Amino acid sequence: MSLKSERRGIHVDQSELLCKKGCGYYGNPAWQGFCSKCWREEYHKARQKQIQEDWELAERLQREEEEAFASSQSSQGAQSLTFSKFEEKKTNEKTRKVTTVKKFFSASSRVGAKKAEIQEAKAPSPSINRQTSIETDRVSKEFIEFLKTFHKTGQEIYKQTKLFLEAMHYKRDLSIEEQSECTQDFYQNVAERMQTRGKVPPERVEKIMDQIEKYIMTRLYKYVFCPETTDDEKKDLAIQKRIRALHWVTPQMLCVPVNEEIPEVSDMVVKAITDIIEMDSKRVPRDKLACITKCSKHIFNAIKITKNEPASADDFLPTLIYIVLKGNPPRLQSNIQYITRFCNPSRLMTGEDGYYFTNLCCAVAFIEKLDAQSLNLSQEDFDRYMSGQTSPRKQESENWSPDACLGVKQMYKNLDLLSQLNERQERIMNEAKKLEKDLIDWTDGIAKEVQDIVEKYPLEIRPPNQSVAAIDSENVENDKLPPPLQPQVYAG
Amino acid sequence: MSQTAMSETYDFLFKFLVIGNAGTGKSCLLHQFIEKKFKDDSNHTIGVEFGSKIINVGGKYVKLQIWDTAGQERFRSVTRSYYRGAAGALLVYDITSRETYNALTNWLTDARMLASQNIVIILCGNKKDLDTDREVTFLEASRFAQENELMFLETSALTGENVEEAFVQCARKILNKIESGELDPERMGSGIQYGDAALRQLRSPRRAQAPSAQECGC
Repeated sequence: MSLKSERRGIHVDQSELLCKKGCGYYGNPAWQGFCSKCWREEYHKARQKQIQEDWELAERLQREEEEAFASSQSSQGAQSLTFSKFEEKKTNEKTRKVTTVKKFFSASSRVGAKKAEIQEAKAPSPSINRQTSIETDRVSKEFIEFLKTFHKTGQEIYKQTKLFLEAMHYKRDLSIEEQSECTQDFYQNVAERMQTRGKVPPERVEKIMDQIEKYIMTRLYKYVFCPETTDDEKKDLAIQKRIRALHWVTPQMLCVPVNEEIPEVSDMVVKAITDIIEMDSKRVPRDKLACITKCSKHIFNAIKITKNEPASADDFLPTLIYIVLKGNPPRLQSNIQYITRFCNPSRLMTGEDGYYFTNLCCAVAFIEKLDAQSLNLSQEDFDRYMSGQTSPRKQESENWSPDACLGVKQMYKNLDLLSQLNERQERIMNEAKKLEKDLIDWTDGIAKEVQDIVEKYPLEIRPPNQSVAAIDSENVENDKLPPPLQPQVYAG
Repeated sequence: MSQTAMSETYDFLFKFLVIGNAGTGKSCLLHQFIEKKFKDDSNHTIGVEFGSKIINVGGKYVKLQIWDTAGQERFRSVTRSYYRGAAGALLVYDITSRETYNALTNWLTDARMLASQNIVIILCGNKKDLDTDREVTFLEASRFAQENELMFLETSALTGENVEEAFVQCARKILNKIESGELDPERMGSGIQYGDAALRQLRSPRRAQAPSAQECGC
């Protein structure tokens, strides 16, 4: 490269454009001067080394773990178990060796294969790898600690779990459904064996199963969450896009019985949204379910406060749909699929968690199918809203900007109130003017009416003295009248 | 029975659904049924939408786990996942609303199509207390129930009349089906789980003595 610096102008030497490895293809600065093919090879050499180092580290940790486990077990003083312990250790060592070989083998078999690209995309940097392996180690330690409290049964479970994980390693190339089936079988077998052989009471079986699920799924998560062999990712993107396109849906359209004006309720709504978004960050199916349950509980509280009575399923489902629309939780479909495939089935079919999970599935199905009719809108309105030409109402900005902070929301609200006030003031002014005019009209009208009546019936006043003097004036023959009768006295 | 004094011990667990139009009082029925248990329990936090209760049916302790469902027409097409693994269902209509009665056929179709074949359904004409506003006669509804092979009761979530009865009758019929062998709790999706390991061994020695040896890797 330094030679080229002598060159002037913008002339670019042909050789500079070519791949550094000299394979004849053109290179690219983004690939450090290699062509895409050579770059992939180079990159993978480096990555493979990294992976190898990581494996070695993991192996070492695992060995330490197992030793710690074994030593703590023996220090608990189960003398009669020493021989079996020795046996187990031996088998453990054997299996570990086997695994190591297998792991290397399968890892290297992928190099150069088409999967290379996928791998690249999946594990972008070794530091993330390391971080997850730290978490995995933490979970393993906890698992071992937990099993210690069960003595012999604990050992047995540990062995089974290890075997299962190893078996799953081979099955990584199988379809996700088959892997899911294996996991479900494993859950069932372990639980059964504990009950029948170990005589563990059911409540404890449940507890142990939770721990087993946590342990194995923390380890398997990387390989079975949103695997490339499925179209989960495509579905994720589709639903995400769909929810974005439905940003205009209001609580009124869904008949959501939640009044966000009440601060306590809007607080609950925010919490519910946070919970459902948090689901993606969990690795164990049970933890994901717990997020859904927490979200649902908040929804119920929000409804309860708004309606002042306990909520029913008729209220709950629309509200959950509204929360999902508002939150647009990341990788929704992947999470649902992952839970369906790898959660302990007894938990999913019954129990509170299962109930809320089912409701979430219904909500997602509704969002996927949603049309004008399901929102009580006309087809034209629906189409217009979907295409973004108009939004259903003015307060749209207030309700549908998830990024807006509280202040901005308040501002929108205040602006809205101000404009309403303005409108009302104008109306009052108009009315007042009208009233004024009415009053004027009224007085005018009255005056006119009075005038009319006055004109119609003119007042004729006769002179009063004339009529008094004339009372008897017409009696001309007054004198001719007989004299008035006189009273007479009768004697006898 | 190996029952101890523990309240959580039970022989079977059934998943029940409450279906029917919105406003027929599904949640109230559930509430009325569950509340009795929780009456004295001051820190009862479970919402009414989901509840469980252990009842004694002919000497067997059955834990009912009841799922309330959304009844609005617009959700009908998406609520199919509710039905998975339900052992029994209360199909509710409102005796004062012809509309809710007319919708029964649709609900029944869904239930028969989406739930397991052996689902036991009891028809509940709710709001029995509002007899003066009645729009659906007892006779008409019981004929409908007969034609569709449903059990039938008129209930009142307000007074509590026949509420427990409805759940118990449904559970009893499921138990009968299990005893007669018509229903196999071991089958996936039956909506029935065993509550007690001891009972399970008793019922199916085949499973107990052979915990899938082929899968045992040790």
